[in-house]
Amino acid sequence: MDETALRKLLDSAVADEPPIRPVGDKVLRAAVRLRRRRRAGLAAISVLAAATVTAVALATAAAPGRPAPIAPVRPAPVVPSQFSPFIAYAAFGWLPAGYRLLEGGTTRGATYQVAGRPHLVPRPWYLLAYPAGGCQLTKARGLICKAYYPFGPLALTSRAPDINGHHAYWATAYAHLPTPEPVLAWQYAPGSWAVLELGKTKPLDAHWRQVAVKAASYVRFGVHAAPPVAFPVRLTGLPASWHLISGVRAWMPYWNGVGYRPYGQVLYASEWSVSTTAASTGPRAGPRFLFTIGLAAQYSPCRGPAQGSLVHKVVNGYRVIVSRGPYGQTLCAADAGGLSVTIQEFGNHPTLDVVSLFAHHLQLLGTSPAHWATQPIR
Amino acid sequence: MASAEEFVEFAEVMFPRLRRTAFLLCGDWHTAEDLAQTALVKMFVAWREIRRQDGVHAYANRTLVNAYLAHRRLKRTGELVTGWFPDRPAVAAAPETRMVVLEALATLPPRARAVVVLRYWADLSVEQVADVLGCSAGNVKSLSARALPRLRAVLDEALAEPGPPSRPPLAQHHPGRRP
Repeated sequence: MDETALRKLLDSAVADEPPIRPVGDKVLRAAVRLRRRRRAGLAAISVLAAATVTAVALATAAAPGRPAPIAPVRPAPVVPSQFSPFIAYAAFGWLPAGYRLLEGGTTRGATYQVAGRPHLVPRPWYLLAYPAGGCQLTKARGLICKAYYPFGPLALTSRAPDINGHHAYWATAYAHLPTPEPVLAWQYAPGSWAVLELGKTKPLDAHWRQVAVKAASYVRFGVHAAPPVAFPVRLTGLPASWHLISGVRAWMPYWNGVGYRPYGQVLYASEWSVSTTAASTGPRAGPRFLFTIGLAAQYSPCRGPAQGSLVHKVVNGYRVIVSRGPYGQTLCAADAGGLSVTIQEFGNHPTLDVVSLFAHHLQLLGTSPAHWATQPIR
Repeated sequence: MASAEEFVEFAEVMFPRLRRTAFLLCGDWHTAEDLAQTALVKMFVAWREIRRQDGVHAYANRTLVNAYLAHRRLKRTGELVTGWFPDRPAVAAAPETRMVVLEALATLPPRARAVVVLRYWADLSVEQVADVLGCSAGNVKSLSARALPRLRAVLDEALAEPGPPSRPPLAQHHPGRRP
């Protein structure tokens, strides 16, 4: 019995699956109960931690204070009310030794960058920036940025040193969850906020506060903060209704914007989705296709979870694997002209599938950034 | 709350796959449903972190396998108290094959069973399985190398016979399985 036979046998074992009932609400209710139990257990610890933080803060305030360094006042960039997904509006300008930019992305409602060590230990840093009006202060010293903090407002705890002449605050993200995170939030332009998470789950000590302020003061904002995002592939010959999904929220299973990865001095679009109908989200949305592009030398994507049978094909001279994933059909090409290409289908398109998209509508632009496109659909 | 809606959407899509994986791990649809729901509940609690990561499927698999291993560590009796008796045999499309596969899987230790299911059904790479199980790639290969011959021996023998399959010795009766 070879591996193929074993896979078939395992498939046959789940063939008589009983019908599935909706589970979403049930899971949510159970999660709320679990969270309440954990919160009750953590209450005592939280009280102790809060007392410790207060004591440290009081001691710091009572100590003969050295004046906080006066940061230079930089002119605020002009911030739009919505971002373009093709532009990285915020970029790290300083990182600790060993850290590097791992990825980023932009939706209409937020832009982010992730930096860290390649193996994600310690936890990576997240830089988030919002367009003008993307966050609102609340009366209860909170900051609501719905595009990326849907679990509740940031709780502003105290003033931080000004960042380039703009007000800044120490804050707590996810305050009502078991593991709140200390963050630095600041206005990088009037009405426009940025947040820096250093991957810590304990209150930041003096060293990490200095690190956070330094990193924040070096963050660049605006349309020239980072190189424009380029597309190593392009879709051609598709109906006019097909368009890039660029919603406010960023969420899986499809990405509501353009995710990018660094390649030398350029950024290339590594993850983006297209909608086949005018409505890209909501109940009227039609089938969607998620494209995950990488450089074959760096990423080997053809190992994602797949169930059911795998079909190996040669399309346009490239070896591809077609499988049925959890949401629909998936095509993966480990090396298509130096690029790794994964196309995932969400919903069933009546005429096009992942193979026909790859075969007839996907133009591979190679590994040279000089040949890459600025738009994914022509 | 927007994130709750998002999670519900995610859970509805992910649940069937998780349940099938759990079924191959535990051999019982009811327990599989519980395990899949447990995994999703745990994911929801950490959703704010994992929703931004690439490896949400790997996270789901890891949570599911951890739930399964924790479930196996519970010292439960092998009997299920029930007031219901099957008064006629269930009819399945290919019950022999299914039962043979499940019972062959049941002869494997839990982690070896997880390796087989994740490698050859969920189609994860050795590295991904190692990540899910929290062990080295070498350990996965070792578990796989020990499990496959055993599985092959049981399956080849059982499926080669034209009549009713010979029943391999069960390592443990699962509490949820009906006679």
